Amino acid sequence: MGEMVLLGLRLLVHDKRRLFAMSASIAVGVVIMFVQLGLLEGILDAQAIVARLVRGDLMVMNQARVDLQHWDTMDPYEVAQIAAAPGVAKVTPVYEDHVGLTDPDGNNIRRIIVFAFPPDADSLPLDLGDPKKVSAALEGADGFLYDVRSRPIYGQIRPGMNINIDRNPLPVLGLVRMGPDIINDGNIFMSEGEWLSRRPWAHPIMAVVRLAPGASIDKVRKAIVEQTPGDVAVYTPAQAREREIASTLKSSPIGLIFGVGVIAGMVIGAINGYQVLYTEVSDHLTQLATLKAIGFADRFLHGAIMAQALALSGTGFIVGVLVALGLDAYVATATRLPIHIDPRTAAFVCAANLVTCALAGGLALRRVGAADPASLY
Amino acid sequence: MPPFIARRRPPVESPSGDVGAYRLSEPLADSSAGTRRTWPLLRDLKPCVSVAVANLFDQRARLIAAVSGVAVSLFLLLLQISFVTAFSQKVTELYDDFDFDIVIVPDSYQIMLSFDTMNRIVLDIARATGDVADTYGLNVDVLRWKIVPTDAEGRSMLIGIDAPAGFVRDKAIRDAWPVLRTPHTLVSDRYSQKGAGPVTPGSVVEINDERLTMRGQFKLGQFFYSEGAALVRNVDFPRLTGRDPRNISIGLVKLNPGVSPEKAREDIAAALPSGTRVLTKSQLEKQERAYFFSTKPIGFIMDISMIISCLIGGVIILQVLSTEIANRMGEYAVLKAIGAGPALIYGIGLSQAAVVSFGGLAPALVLGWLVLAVVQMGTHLNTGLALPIVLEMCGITAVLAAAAAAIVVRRVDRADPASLY
Repeated sequence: MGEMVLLGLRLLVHDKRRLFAMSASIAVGVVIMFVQLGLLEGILDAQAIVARLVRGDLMVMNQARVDLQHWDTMDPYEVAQIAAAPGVAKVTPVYEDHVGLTDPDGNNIRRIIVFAFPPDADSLPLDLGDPKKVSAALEGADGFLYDVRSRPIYGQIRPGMNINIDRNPLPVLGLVRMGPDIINDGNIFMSEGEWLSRRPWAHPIMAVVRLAPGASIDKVRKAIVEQTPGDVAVYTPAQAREREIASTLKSSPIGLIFGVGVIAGMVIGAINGYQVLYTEVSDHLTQLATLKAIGFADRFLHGAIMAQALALSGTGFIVGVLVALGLDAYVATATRLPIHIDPRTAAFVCAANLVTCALAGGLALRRVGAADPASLY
Repeated sequence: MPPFIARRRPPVESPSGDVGAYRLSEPLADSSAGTRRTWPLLRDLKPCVSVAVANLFDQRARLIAAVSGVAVSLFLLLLQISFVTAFSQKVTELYDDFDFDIVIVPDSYQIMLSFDTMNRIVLDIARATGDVADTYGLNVDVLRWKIVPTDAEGRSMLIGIDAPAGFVRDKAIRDAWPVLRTPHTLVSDRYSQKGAGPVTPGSVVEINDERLTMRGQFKLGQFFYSEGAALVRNVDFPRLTGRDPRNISIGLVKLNPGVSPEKAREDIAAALPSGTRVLTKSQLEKQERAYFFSTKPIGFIMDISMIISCLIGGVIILQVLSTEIANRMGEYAVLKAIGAGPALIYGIGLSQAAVVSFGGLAPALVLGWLVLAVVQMGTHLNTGLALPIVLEMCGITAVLAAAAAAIVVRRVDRADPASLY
């Protein structure tokens, strides 16, 4: 067993340039899989980013708000009803709407999403950085915080600038990081007071609930539903995120598009692997024929080829990860989507690459039959 | 030794200039005397292709794998090109249903579904410039309607239209106008998604506590704005949406014959108050498409996917050619030894590249045609395989094959007849 593996590895490493070329060939499939999965996860993550950033135990929303892209609001008195439910320590209303931001570079009015909430440091509903700094900025003066991960259409916005929001100048109090999604291009954040002074009749789009110490999530959820008129839905942030991902996959063909891309990556990985191993076996036919002539069984030679296939899956994966890291970073910067390689994706791609290389190795074994000891003479 | 074509069809020199089964276009003596042509002429093509095909088919399993790889990459490329083309048409489809030269929109306008409006008086101001033959008001808003009798809710884009006059190009929308004059009526988009509820004639929905019956259909299918769409008259639109009846979302302008759109655009812009933008039809369509393909990440994602697909296809062709040439250096040396010129030698490489790449294109087109037809049925995007896209794919495939051949084929120069001895 050990000799088989050793032979396979020695055949591979004796020409390092060739090994790199073969690894790069295998890496093509790996890169495709990483890019496709990265884009899919990036889009899904962006659509559910509000749920990921919530600082609280429960999110309460209008039942009609079947996903976070819907604009169904709650009645403001329901926030007070939720606060009165047993087990609720704190409830924070969050307002969401869109406004026209005039970009300072081109003077064009661009639609941007505005989030507003009471700027209390202890109960900020969204994780936008240091709560004390965010709270101090919003409490101190009229103005707004700008999401620096917004798409470039809004121009270069810096703290201290006066930017027209719905044609009225408003100072930029600071910068935070959130990021756009596929539908919305950017975000700004205001205090509840600032927002209600502009839209006095605004209703909250959700309420973020913090539980009292020791309170049971299920009991509080039930209490909130009982306390309100029955038109709200209560989720944990994790549930809201899962619901958003499921809703995005259901309402758009992105799962199909990127799923086809991943399968194509696997097919291309297998084909490239086969080509590489076929060439490797073809180039060593004389050596393999010599081994046969001195009595090594086909099984031994097959083992050596399979060892090469598995070793190449490892080196191809490493090269693929390095390329994908660079490519993902580039795509993330260009699209402003949270594209990255997470361990789960890496494990999936590694396993898929291993399977495709093993399959390619299996197919290339047929070529070993062409190694004929008689041809040596 | 790997099997090679020369073993099965040994080249035999004959006074007529035949080498084995293949007739060379130039007498062998010409090339040995130093008359070298680099590129094959048409008459050289047959032996080149014959040798290329025979060489490739010598290892059928590997050929199938290579062609499959090229097919997968070209299939992906075809899907992406078709999606981009179809989506690009779809984003301006409503505008394509109208005949106009200039558009007036609020200055916050980014795409058709913008929420700002402007006073209809802008149309009268435009008329006063003297450049304008006629004007037309469009209203657009997204709202929630209640499906009767289930009380389920659907989201729909409501489009308010004026009397068609000479503006409406789409027959279904022209036919909708007399139907819409019946009270409490709307005309639904046949391509609405399920979430909008039933849209067949006779279906009833409730908007703003008013029950409306669908009495006709038109075709739009802009699923990226809302689940459904419906037409109403502009006189009914404000009542249903709560909008100011004096306002419109978009103003369409038709110019007098002979008036330059750019001059008219400048004249109208100068006459209008602030808060409005004036664009020619081509500027509007360009802006609309730019929003989806430049501002949104869709365009970038598609571009990068297309580049990756092309690279994969190219790398696979390159790999096959490279291996083929490396494995057959002996045979190439024999061909050189018996006097074959570069036309034949390079022509074989180029032909192999063409066979592998176009061999992959054929199944990619067939598979793509099937998948795109299914996508067309599901999304109502015009993704059917059209001739311009087929020609574009042929062009890309030819470039990939030529590029791969250009990179690899000169390695044949290393084939040395002296090495045979």
